[in-house]
Amino acid sequence: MLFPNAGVAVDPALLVLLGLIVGTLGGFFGVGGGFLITGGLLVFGVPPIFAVGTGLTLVMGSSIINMLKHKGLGHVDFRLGMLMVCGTVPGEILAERLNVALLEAGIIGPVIRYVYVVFLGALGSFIVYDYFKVRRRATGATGDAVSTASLARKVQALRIPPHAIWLPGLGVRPTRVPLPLSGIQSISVFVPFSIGFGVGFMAGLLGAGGGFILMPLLVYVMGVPTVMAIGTDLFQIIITGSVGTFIYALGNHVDLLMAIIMLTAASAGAQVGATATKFVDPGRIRGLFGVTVLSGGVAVALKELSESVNRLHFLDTVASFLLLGVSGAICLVIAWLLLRSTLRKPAPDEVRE
Amino acid sequence: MLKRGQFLRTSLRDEQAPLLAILGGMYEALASFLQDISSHSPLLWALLVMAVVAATALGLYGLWELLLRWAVSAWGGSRARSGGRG
Repeated sequence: MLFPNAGVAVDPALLVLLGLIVGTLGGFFGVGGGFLITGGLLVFGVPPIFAVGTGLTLVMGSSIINMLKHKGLGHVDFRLGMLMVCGTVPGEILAERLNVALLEAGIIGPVIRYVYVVFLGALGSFIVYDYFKVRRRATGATGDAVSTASLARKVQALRIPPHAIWLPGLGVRPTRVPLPLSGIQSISVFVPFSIGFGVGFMAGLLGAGGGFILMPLLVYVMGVPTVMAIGTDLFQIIITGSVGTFIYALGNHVDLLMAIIMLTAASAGAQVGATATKFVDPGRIRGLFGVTVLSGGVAVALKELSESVNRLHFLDTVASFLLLGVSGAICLVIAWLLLRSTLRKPAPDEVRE
Repeated sequence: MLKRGQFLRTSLRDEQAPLLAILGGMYEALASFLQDISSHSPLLWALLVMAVVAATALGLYGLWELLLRWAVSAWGGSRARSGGRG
């Protein structure tokens, strides 16, 4: 099928498959899946700039569906999301300035890829390490227990001045707020603001939605329960995805028809991914997320290698296939876990009730 | 690379020809509309992309919710009926 804006012919069945994978992973991990979509579209022969633009458009659409699905399950803390969004936008603007400076210096490509490799590698390794550490300590289900619980408590107790600020129309307000939905008694607003700023900066620098950074930060640094972090994370990605979509669409680098086909498939995947978070143990969700992030790191490292060494150009294709293969396998695991959990036992929420 | 409209014409059969010709015409009209608006009015195009994606996402979410609710009620009803018999 010929796609008029991108000017390429792509088999719609491949787009449906990619959409299904992105929707499932987005609903299960609370990520937009930008790095996966871009890699997949590049393999399908879509020009790079259209791959990024159309990818961000799909990130926006699938995040809306996934966030609404998680809202229905009670997994979205809008107050926390809004506090982070206040920091995200300035972070993205600052990153855009840095990107321009790096572009002028002619080092933007390698810098972004090295940051990606280090970030994804470190993050993925830590999450997998934490999964096994907690699992060893408490045999069986790990639940929301993480090895950084004491760090999260210290972060929640941080007292950052000023302790009250004046807001137009609201008067003087304390800067410590309760976040009951996230299980936080009180926290300084500057903590989620700083996290939002950092994530916005990294998302702007790497050209991604930032979900793969935010979800672990919420869980390990702020002590937010995993499923709540997933839902709230998606709320944030809608904002970053919308900004990216608008910018790329202005430059005529979005193929709307391609995005709609993938979005339709992603909506089906989202039903599986988001529903699975209700049944699957949070520790296992984080473990699978760690494996996905690690495979992303390896894929970017292979891409960097293929660009650095002339005879290793084939590694670029290997990287994309590795990423798609691992993601597809994780989707099958998610579907299997959902099926097994629904057949064996009632959801944890139902047991609590 | 495929030419515009070829995706439909390649699988054209005699009995389906009128329907496929209509679909092919619709696709061509849509493709030329998308190309025209994206190259001539960037701001309108950007707003259209965001509006269409957001509306599609909301529509798909609603459709899936209805479908799943119907499936759950149908499944629950059939289970209740089979339980009543047993």
